[in-house]
Amino acid sequence: MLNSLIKFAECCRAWDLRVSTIEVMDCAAQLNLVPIRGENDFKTVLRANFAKSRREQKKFDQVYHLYFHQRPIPLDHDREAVSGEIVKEGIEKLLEEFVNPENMTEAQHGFARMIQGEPAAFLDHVQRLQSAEEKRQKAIKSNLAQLSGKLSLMLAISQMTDRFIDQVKRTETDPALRRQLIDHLSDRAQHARSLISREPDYYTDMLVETGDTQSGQTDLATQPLSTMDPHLMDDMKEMIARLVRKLKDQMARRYAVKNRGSIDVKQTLRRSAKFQGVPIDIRYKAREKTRAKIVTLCDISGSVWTASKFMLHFLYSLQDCFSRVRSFVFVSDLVEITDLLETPQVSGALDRVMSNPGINTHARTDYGMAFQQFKHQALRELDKKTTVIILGDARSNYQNPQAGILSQIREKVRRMIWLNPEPQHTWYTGDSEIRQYRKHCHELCACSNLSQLEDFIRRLVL
Amino acid sequence: MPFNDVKDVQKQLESVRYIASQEIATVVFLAVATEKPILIEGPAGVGKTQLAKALSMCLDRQLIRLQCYEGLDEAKALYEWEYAKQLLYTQMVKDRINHVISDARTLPEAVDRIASQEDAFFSERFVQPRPLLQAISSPDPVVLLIDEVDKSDPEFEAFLLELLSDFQVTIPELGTRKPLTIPLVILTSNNYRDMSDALKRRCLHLYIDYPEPEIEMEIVRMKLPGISVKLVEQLIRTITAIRGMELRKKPCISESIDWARSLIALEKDELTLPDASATLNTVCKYRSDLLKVRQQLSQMI
Repeated sequence: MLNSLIKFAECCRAWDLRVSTIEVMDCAAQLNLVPIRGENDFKTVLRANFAKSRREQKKFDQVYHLYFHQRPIPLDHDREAVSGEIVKEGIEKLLEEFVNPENMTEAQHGFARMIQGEPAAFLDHVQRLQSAEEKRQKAIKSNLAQLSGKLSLMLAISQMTDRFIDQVKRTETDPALRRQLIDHLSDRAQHARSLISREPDYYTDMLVETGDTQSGQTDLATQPLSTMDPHLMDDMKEMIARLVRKLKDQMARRYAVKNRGSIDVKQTLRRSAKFQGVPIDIRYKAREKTRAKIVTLCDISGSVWTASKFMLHFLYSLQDCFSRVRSFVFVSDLVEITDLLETPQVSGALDRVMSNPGINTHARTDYGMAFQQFKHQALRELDKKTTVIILGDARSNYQNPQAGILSQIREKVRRMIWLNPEPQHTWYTGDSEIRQYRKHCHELCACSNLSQLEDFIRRLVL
Repeated sequence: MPFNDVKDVQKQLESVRYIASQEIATVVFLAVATEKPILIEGPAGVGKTQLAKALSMCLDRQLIRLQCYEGLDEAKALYEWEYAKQLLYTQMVKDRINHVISDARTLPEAVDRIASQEDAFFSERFVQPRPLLQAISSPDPVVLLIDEVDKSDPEFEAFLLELLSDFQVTIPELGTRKPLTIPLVILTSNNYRDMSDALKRRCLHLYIDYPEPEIEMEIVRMKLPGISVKLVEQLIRTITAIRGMELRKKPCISESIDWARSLIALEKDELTLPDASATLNTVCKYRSDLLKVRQQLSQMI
């Protein structure tokens, strides 16, 4: 049992779940405590120890299914069924005869181990392939690095399976055993392929998702930002200024109540001098404000730019609610514009963003590349007090979305929020990668008009 | 041991009117048996906090609750020195202090004498225990509920680690406080942010989802014994369908109960479209949700 558990933990680790030795030990001890009446009990114990958040449970379920459900087990209804041991021996014989370990590639080796019921090496290989980052190319952009890696792996699997099945057909004389060996081999190959073709998956039912909502506000507040007339811009700015004042008022009131901290001995003693040293007037320290850091990442291509502009305008007007706001913009290359925006005249500065020499507005939007650059530039400075806000329609022109990078960012920060300025019914259409990206966010909000943007900002600061 | 086996957990929880699934019962049993904390995740209103309350009732232990929020610090969660009391005592015993140092010949000697008395002012008497310290210094074991731990700051989370692994806390002036009894610790999280690996490693994980329709029917019937079978079935079927929609806030168990209660108050024993539409605001708490659900209500009943 323990042996099997350790191997299972190894598979979990290969599939990017963090399982520590302590957890394996705990789990083994707990399995002795609970009477295991059915598979569900067993799975519950394992899951409570190995997957420590709802998000990870999906990965756990995948590995669990792969490891415990796909072992060579003889079919019950088959009268000629051969016991699992014999099948196992058959496979080992097959591998021994056929495979020469010296000149096997890593992928072939992994798959061979998987056929034997130990998928850890194969999982590890696929995991690395899936989280690999696209290399930066100067001349022609392509997103084929990951695809070609997957393709060659697929080919290796097919070749090996075909060769094995061929071998079994030629050498195995017992028909029952022959069928079972072939079944087993094709079942494994099937599983291996599905592991490769599917993107890493997470349960997303804890994701906060705010879609389109109807509200009874003025026309300006519900007018789509993407179709905003230039002559309405000034009205819009005034409206933002009004909202900002309102929010700041609310903030101030709230802090006044919340801010009383512990007693200030120094001041109390000083005051007590007035009353012959009796501390009647007790003074308290004001609590230091714990303020969040904000990092924004804005798509500024085409119609998304208007929404980005208003979001940045809003954030920078409320700058004193946060300890630091850093901003990055991208079309395909990432540019930091924090310095540019740290002026009292935000709206003027925003108009100058587009003339930044680093921004090539004619390039095609590439989210994957922008995230990769963000990772190299800013990942080190993120911490658990940072909230990352990404604004964009996730339309990445069918280039490699590199969603794995978002998962790495998520691990570093407090919260990750995606604002999508498109109307909700178009989110999952065409070249939008939002389905890939949402798995890694804490919150996904629509922000196609000012009223939705205001709702979001209010939740952020209050 | 308080529970004999998993079945016993289910039975005892049911006796305090909490219906636990097999999974919940198994994890609770393990947590009690191995004295490990449980980290509970799940949507709002599925009975995460309620589980802690039910456990405290059926184990007959006191429930100590710590609600987490941004800015929660040690002084609020663990202990605080009662400065005001210390100052007042200093005033009151001033004469006594003068007496202690009255025959000291030099200043250093006087300081030494006061120093030898200083423990009197940093003693248990002036420590005001907050929930976490209360939980480990209680002579009878308690249930400690750390609610919405995801709302707390990373600093607070780091400092919980000592408590969760060894159930001890360190007060600089008094030293390390060993636990008198080991509390049953329950942490709940709404996934506002991810918890650190270190914290997760110390806990057993439990995800509570919306209950299966059969279990939810049982819950409603238990809370409202007089309700008709047909109404419960229709109600839960509709609620389950509503949960399948994309809403700002999905109805939780307490909303099912509220809905049933209001229908009983209207003396209905089955769910009809007009009644459902009229009482829908007990289930949907946002106007936009209400409109969305009302549009599709006829297909759901």
